[in-house]
Amino acid sequence: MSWYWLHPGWLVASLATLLPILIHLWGRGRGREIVVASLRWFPDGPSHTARRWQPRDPWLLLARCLSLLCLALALAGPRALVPPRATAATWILVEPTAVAVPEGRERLAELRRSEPGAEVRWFLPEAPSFGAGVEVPPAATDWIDDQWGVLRAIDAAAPPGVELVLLTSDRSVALPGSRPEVGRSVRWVTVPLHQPQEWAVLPAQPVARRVSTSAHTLGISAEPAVGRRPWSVELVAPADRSVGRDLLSRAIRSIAARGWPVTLAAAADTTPAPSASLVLGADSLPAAGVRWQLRESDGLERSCRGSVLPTTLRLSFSVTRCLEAPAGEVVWRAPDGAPLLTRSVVPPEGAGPPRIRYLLASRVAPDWLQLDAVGWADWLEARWRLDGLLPTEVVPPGRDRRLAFAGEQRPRTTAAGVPSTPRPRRWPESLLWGLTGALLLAERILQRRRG
Amino acid sequence: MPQRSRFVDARALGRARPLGLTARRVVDGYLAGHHGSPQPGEGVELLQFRAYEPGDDLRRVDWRAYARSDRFFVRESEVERDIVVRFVLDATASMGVAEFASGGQRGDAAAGTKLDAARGIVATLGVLADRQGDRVALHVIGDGARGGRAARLGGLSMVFSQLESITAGGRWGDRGLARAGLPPRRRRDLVVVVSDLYQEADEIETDLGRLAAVGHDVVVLHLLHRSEYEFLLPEEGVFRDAETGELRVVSTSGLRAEYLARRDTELAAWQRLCQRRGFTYQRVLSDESMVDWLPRLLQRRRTPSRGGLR
Repeated sequence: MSWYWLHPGWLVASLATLLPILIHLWGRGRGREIVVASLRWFPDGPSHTARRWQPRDPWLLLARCLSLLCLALALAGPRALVPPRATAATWILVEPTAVAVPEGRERLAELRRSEPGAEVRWFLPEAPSFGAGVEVPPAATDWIDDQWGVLRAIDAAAPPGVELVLLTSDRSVALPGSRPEVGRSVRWVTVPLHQPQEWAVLPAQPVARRVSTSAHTLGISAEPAVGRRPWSVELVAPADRSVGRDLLSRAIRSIAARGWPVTLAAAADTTPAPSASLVLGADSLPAAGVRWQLRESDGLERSCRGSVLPTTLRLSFSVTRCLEAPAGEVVWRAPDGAPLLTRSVVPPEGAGPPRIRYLLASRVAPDWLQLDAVGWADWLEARWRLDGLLPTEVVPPGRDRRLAFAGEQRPRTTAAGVPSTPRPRRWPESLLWGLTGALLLAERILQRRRG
Repeated sequence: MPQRSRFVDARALGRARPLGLTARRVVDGYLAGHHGSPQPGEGVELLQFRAYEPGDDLRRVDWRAYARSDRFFVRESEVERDIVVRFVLDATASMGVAEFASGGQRGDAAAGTKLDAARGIVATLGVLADRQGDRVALHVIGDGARGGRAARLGGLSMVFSQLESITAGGRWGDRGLARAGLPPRRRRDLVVVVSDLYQEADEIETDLGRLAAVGHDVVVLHLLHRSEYEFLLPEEGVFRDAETGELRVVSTSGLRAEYLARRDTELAAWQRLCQRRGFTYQRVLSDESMVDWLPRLLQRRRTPSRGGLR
């Protein structure tokens, strides 16, 4: 079990522990001096210096010091990272598409070896049992429309104490939307169906032209020449499929009318994403050229490129308030080296301060990230930028300098092999608050006894 | 120079005057006074009759005895001489410590120091000696004796003047009496030592031994504060020795018994010392009226017993 602090700045306040000691020494040093004719009849006692360092009311002094220390530590918000508990029983839930590829079958075999007593079931409604070997999934289960609903149903049907291990493809975990709240921990084992995509952070440029409809805005923004991607098309649309498709068609036509060498088409509606309804067909996308950004009502921009299902989900948001930001680009990377959070300085539009753009990417899920911070300053800044955006649990930069964003339901294993993430617990902070109260009460009692 | 002193306790003087300050030992004197001389001569009190020898003064022949016995007898009487009463006043720093008020609170200057009490004792006894025809001298031990510590004989007003100007300070030190101008072996006097007898080693004891060696009649008045005697001090504090400056933090609660035991041991040692050397020892508390102890002291000195304990 490891530890971290939610507000490590408060640890400085633990220096206040010295205050009672200093006050005690001050009081002892300036004790009342009484002149007597002689000390000949006085019993031998400690010298003045030795007496000064001898505490007068050691228990009272200890109570005061400890109460201040506990208060400072409680304000710092200690969290204990508890590793996942080994449960008595495990259900390995196999999503049908995950075992359609050899890599998925290999991963399933590994899971069976690592969990000898695990019960293997299909990740389907009612969780039918899985045979000894790799079997054909039940009919008409090519794709589950509501994976989260299935997960909720299995969670409700599984006996208490059973740990769920979900073997699924990366497109499942990449689905946007809020994760369901389930009553147990779910370990995610993902099988990549597609290779991770290379992606780059492209700072936005002023919109060259903006086409507006009654309800939507289609903007075309020029990008600087970064690599082979000279343009980007910004589509602002509500989370409505038909309107989105219509708007996308308009955008394509608008781009085509300008003679740009791109051909885009709306993909088939195969992904039951509740809020992001546009899926671009991989075949219709050029290898390089255009990046689509879909701005949803939550203010996040999500873009996808180059694949049918987004193995790389990019969240970008702009911060209009500008701090003194260093020039250039700062990239936080995942433990496997993939960039996850990028900060860049956007040149000002005319007169005005430059903007800082953060691009937050996750290959797994939008509600969970684990970032590397390069230093305290970057860690604090990223924390400040992202704190209101996602529910966060922050690990200060230590040995691994991770910045973890915890969602309601987060997978503990990523497709890239990120180790399982321990769960943070609040009990150290609660314990410290209780100790502080008890020590303050003891201090009052001792003070009253002292009179 | 002042002819009267504000330090004189008139009430104690009135009670002590009938008793008189007498020397219990044979001391030296030159002028007619209250005390007897070891040499026979002309006087009032008959000492002895002896046979006439050629050269005797015919005025001393007892003619009545000649009429009765037809033989010449010479009448000899004791010559009454004065003595020198030498006051040795301890004006070291420990004598300048003020008394604590009752309840162990820290006293102020108005509470009085041991030096103030000693001034009263010296002034009262000085007047007593002066009125009975004895000469007085004051020897001050300590750094606060203005105008020199050498005493001048016979001047009570000089003593009063010295008492006014004395301040407490310094220590007794080696040969403190000699430095205070006490003549070593010239004559035997009545020496009244007023001190708290606080010594670092045994310097006071040594000086008292020298007095005894000369043959002085010594009265030791051991002056103490009541708070010092009865351990009426605050519960805890940083106590500083007035003479050595030593600091000691003592919690007085629970240590009273040990303190009193040490006190009794030392007081008993002083009493034994005085008794052994033939001194008169009297313990005096600074807030104690002289009426309470001075008549008893003088009365005790008139009795044949030597020394005496209170």
